[in-house]
Parts: sequence; structure tokens; C-alpha cells
Amino acid sequence: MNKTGKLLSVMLAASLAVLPACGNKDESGTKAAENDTKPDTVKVWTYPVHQKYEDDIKELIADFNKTHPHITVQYEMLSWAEGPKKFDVALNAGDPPDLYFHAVSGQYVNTGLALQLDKYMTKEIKDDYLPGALELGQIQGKQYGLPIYQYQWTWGGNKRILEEAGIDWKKIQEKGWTFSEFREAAKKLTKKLPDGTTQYGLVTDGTSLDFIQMVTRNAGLVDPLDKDGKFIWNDEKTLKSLQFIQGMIKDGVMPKETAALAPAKRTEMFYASQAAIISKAIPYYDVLIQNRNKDIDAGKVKGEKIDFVVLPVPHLEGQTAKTTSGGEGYVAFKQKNDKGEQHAKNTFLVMEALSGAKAGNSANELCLPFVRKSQTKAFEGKGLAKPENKKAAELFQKSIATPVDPVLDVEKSAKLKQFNEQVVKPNFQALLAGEKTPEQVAEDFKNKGKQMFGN
Amino acid sequence: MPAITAKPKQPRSFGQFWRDYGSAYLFILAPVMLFLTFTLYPVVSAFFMSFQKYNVLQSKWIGFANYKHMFSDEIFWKSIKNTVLFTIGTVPVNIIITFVLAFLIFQMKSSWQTFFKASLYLPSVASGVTISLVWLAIFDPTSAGLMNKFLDLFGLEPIIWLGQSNKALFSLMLMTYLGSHGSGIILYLAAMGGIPKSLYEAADIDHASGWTKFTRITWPLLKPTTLYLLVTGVITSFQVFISVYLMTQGGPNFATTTIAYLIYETAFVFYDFGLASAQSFVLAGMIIIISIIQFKFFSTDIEY
Repeated sequence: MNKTGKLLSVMLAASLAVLPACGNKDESGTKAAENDTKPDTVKVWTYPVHQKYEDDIKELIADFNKTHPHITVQYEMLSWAEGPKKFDVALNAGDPPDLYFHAVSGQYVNTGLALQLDKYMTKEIKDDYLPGALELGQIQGKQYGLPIYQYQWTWGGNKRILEEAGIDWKKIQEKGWTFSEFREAAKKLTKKLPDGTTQYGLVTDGTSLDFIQMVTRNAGLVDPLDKDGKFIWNDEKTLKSLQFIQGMIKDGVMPKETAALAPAKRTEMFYASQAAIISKAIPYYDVLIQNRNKDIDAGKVKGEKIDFVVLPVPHLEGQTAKTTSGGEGYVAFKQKNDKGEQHAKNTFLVMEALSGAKAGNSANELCLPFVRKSQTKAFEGKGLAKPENKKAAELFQKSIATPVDPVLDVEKSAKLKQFNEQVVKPNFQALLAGEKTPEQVAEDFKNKGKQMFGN
Repeated sequence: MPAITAKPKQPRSFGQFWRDYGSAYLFILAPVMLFLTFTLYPVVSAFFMSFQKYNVLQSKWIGFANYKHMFSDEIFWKSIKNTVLFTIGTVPVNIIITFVLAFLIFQMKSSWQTFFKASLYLPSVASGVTISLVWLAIFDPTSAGLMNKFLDLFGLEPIIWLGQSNKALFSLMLMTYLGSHGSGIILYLAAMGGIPKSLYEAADIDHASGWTKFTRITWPLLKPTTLYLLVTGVITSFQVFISVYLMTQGGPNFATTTIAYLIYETAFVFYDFGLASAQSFVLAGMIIIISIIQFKFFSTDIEY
């Protein structure tokens, strides 16, 4: 046999040796997918959702590991201030954690790294969710997150100040109030205090979009875009919302320095009884303020004890009162260097463990509606909010406005974010600072909306 | 007599080269690797990214679209305007303040010089984040804020420092006037110490006034230090970010949106890394051009 022949024989023999190994590798890959006891690690980034959430998560992980000892759950508690930026960097570097605590977002889906959960959702899991709850974790009908509670944005009042001014807060909790009813009430709540400071009818921060979003949602405008992606902040209702906001500054019921007030300052003013009502407030403030009152009794904190009442956001005359609501929970991701199907399955198992019946303690602590039937059952009779606030929160949940972002296509969702950050926020700040009139702001919304969304 | 011929150069072996220079190259290997990994590679990547619509899994080549979008964006031009205003409002003023402080300190006894050098240098040691958070409290818009309490002493109304478009940028400039002179003072003092006393003695013989000595001796001979502070001051002010991020987030109504903050917002709020890269290169180009102009016009040497 010549040299070429020998070489060909060797190559043939080598390929015969390699091919079965490839075949074997395939079989072993299949076996690996079926074999669910291979050690794996699932990374979770979360936030201090409530004061005791770290204890909750440790307990949930411990329970999970009793049935899945081969899956290590590594969690990291991020700070609210810096966590979002840390996650954004990790996501855009292609290495997000497997689970991240947040509302679902079109931007996450756009990266191609958000894990679609539909194929992992069993019938039992789907049936356990209360009507409408699962949709809070969907983007365009596809499941990307499992909510563990439905948040609620409301306003919050100091009961003593409201009652001294003759405001029937119980009736307001039940029936709501219009823009003009609120302005009248706020004038009664605003006065000079003996120490020379001012007690304002309403205090809000001027650094976020929450306030203008709550007001416009109560004027019949769910967001700058409707669920079909059509720009709707171009009519009379937008102008009336802006006039309502500016009117409160002109009346003096909101501080003229609102544009520069941070959320912490707003809370400080509420605790110092310099604010009768604050925006935004969440039902959890009821628990936080009760704890603060206990600290005052124990001498740990100085200040006046406050009786907190949750209040609805006023609505435009002729419109229905709406409570801004949405879902927050865990969103699942894969990485640029995909760890495979089994890892994705394990990630979902951890996600379900962190979102199940026991995880309902988050909704319970936050005094928010549960999202699952098993949670409602597990925490029946264990509510922490005062009865009037609990009743009010349940009533508010009957008429909610959820952000449209999850139902929009990814491109529209990104443009909406840009509109909010680069058109709404600067104009809102200019309105609060008295640098622009409501008419000018409404005109700018109209023009920029047309430019960006084409209608 | 045999002609003297040059000895032919023996080719050096690698072994010999390594013995002579190997340790030097080893010493510079680490910083060169750091430079290549953390400076050159990111700059080259960012350059290519500026021509792409970035996506973490699959970016798309879009040519000059990012640059076209940037130059037609009014917010970009607003950020350039704010950055230039901030630079003009801080760099010359801070150089003057730094020089005056250094000049005053230079006249003192050495023990007092040491004390003032240390005290004025301390703010440079504190982190920008800490300083920004403290100034946020100082600029509290209510009457409880320190600046407003100071105004109240003179019967003036409180000012919403960071909440009004016509005051927010000035508030950020004010921060720099009151705290960023330490390193400049050290440099000026060292330069002043290097001016030969014989020049002043010669001026005294000619009955030169203090002003003449200052304008004809002190200031010209401090030109290299002034040029250095001018160039580094412009580079630093063009990259102002921490105070904007922590105190105003670019507002109110884009009044404090600087180019560096816009780059951050484009990348980390809107996830548009391609556009942010394009903006970064424009910023870098502007800084290079301004630095060249400064060196061309201000770098002539003075010799006596």
C-alpha cells in the first residue's frame, strides 16, 4: 500500500472512531437534559421588597432545597437606588442573573435574553393565578415574568390633619373626588403653622413621572399611547390634567419648590406634619407608619405619631377614578453563553418557588392584593393594614389602570420610554417650576408626539 | 599603514537583546497590557459600535445613521451648549480663584502655608459622590436648606437652586468655585517657589511697582502651570457627570444635561449603545480640538 493509501486508511479509521463518539455525545446530551439531578446554580437578584423580605427569601430557598437539593440558589439583595443600573449593565453585557425582581419590560425582551416561560407553565400553576394576574407578567401575550403582587399607587393622608380641616376621608375613600373637589379640600388643608413653616395640602416629588402619570390616568388617558400604540396625549383631557397640576401650585396648596423635591424630602415633610396628603403613597405606608409610631412610643424616634389613611387620586370630572396598578415579581433570563435547556427548567423551578403560596407574604406585608388563590388561602385573616385602609385598597383594585408598555411592540415601547424621559419629564418639571404654561406643555406634547409616533 | 575600517556590526542575538533589555520590557508589560485591555480595546470597540445598532446578541451595521441622528437631535445641541457654558463659567473663574489663593498663601510663613495647603487640598480627597450629596442638602429648596438660610440672613427670599432652569446650572458651577482648588494651589505654589528671586531684586532696583512685578514677572513665568490647569480644567469640565447624575439628573427641562450625562442616558436608560458611542467620539474630538487650540495659543515659553 502506498503512502497515500496508508494515510487514507488512517483517516478512515480515525473518522470511524470519532463518529460513534459524536453519536455518543448526542445521546449523553439527551440524557443530560432528562437527568434533572445534575448540580446547578441559579442566580437571583432581588430587592428588599418589604422589611422582612430577606427572611422570606431565605425560607423559600430552604423549602425549595428540601425537594431540589442539587440546585443551589444564589441570591443577591440589591439596593433600590443602584440595583436597576447594575442590572442594566449586566443585561447589556450579555450576563444578566437568571432571575431578576422587576416588572416585565419590552426592553428586556428586545435584548433577546428574556426567557419565555409559556412552555414551563403547568395547568396547575396557571389555574392558581387569579383572573388578570398572569397577564401582568406578559409582553404581547407571551409570559416572561411571574408576578408576586399587584402594586397600587395611591395618595396618602394624615388622618388628624384631614379631620381637623373637616375633610370626610371615609367618604372620599368610598366615592373618590374630582379635580375641583380636591382643590377646594386642599385649600382647607393648607395653612401656616405656629413655628412659621407651612402645612401644604399636597406634597409630591418633582423628580419622577409618577405624579403626572397618576393624574393623567385619572383623566381617562392610560398613557401617552393607548394599547393599540396610538398617541392620545393630544386632546383636552391632557390640558385639563396639566391645568389641575399648575392650579395647585398657583393656589399654594403644593410647595412652589416641588420641581426640586426628592421623594425622601416629601416623606420627611409628611412625618413633620408639613403635608396633609402625599403622592405617591402605597398601602405599605400604613405598616411603615405604624412601625414608626411604635418607635416613637419606644423613644427610638422623635416626632408626632401619624394615623395614615390611603386616599384615591382625584379624577377629572366626567371620568372614572383609576388606580395605577401593575405586577411585580421575577423575570427570567438566559445569558449570551447559554447554559442550556436544563438550566432554563431549573431557573423556572426556582422562580415558581419564589412566587408560590408562601411568597404571598410579600403581598400581605405590602397590604396589596394577592395574585394567586393559594396565597389568598394561606394568608386569610392575617392582613396587616388597618381595616379602613384594607377596605379602601380592595375597592381601588376594582378600577385599575395598568401601564400599556407590556402590550406594545418592542419598538413602540422603546419610543414611549424616550417620550416619557425626554418630553414628558422636562415639560412636567418646567410646569412645576412655572417656566411653562399648561397650554405650552400640551402643545409640546402634541407636536413631539406627532413627530415620534406619527399621529 | 592599514586603513582604519569600521568594525562591522555583529548581529545581536535574541539572547543578548533579552539580557540587555528584557527586564525593562517586563516592567512595562503590565501597564501596556492594562492599556491594551482597558483603554485601546474599548476605544476601538466603541468606534465600531458607533456605526452599529447595538444589540447584546446581534448588532446591525447602520453606517453613519447614529451620527446623522445625533447632529439632528436638539437635545444633543442643548447638551453641548450646557457643557460649553459650564466650561466657560468654571474654568477661567476657578483658575483665577486658585491663583489668588495660591498668591495669598505664598506670602505667609511656612507653617501657615502648610496649614492652608492641607485645608484647601482636603476637598480633593473626598469623593465626588459625597460632595454632591452634601451639596444636595445645602441646596435644599425649602427654607431649611443651608444656602437659603444664608440668604435669609440678608432678608432674601429662598431660591429653588436646582429646580429652576435659570439657576440649576449656576448652582453646579457654584459647587466648583467653593471646593476644587486644592491641586491647583499646590501646583501654583511650587511654580511660584521656582521663580528666581533675582528677577524680583532686579525689578526692585528699577523701582518696579507691585503690579508691574506681577504682570511682568510672576504671571508670565506661571504660564506653563496656568496652561496645564487650563487644559486639564477644560477636559474635566467637558466630562462633568457625577454632580449632574446625583443632583439634577440633567433637569430641570434639560437645563443641566451635559454631553457626558447625555451619553450615560443614551446608553443606560435607552440602551442605545451605538448612539452613545457616536456621542462619545464627538466629545473626544471636541476635547482634542480645544486642547490643540490651547497649546497653539498659550504654550509660548517665557525666558528672562
